[in-house]
Amino acid sequence: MALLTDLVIPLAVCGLVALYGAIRALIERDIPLKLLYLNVFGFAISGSFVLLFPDILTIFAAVAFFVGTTLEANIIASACARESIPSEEQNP
Amino acid sequence: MITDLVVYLSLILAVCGAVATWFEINPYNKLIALSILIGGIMPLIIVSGYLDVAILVALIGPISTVIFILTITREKRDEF
Repeated sequence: MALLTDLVIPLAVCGLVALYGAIRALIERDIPLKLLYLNVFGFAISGSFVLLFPDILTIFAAVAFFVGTTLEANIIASACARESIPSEEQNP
Repeated sequence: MITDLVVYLSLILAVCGAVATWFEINPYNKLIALSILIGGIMPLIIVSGYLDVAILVALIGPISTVIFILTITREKRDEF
């Protein structure tokens, strides 16, 4: 019971940060700002995994999700930047 | 109690991500909403106890994003 009462506040903070990040990522109009809040959302969700289900394999799931969401946001950012900047190398 | 609240919150996030994926027009916004959908269903898998499934979903999500990016930018690459 003490474990449950100890984990209430961190889990609530992770949930609130995840909700805020998701709402800002869905509402914002600027794509780089959306990607920033998508990163915030991924951090908060991967932090809430271990608090939800304390186990050994949960740590690996959290690590995989953390690395995966960060790489995902960076992939979208690099593709968007490559499309928006006109390149001079391909049109000599 | 707080676990139930987080489960309901992630359910709401998953539904919001699905609806946003449906109605967005820009393909990059669509990918961002799809990422929110995947992040919303992950706590549901974790609470159910399928941890190996959670690891696989966390690894497959970015790979599918890479393939979507390749298909989105295909017209741009085919012009040259």
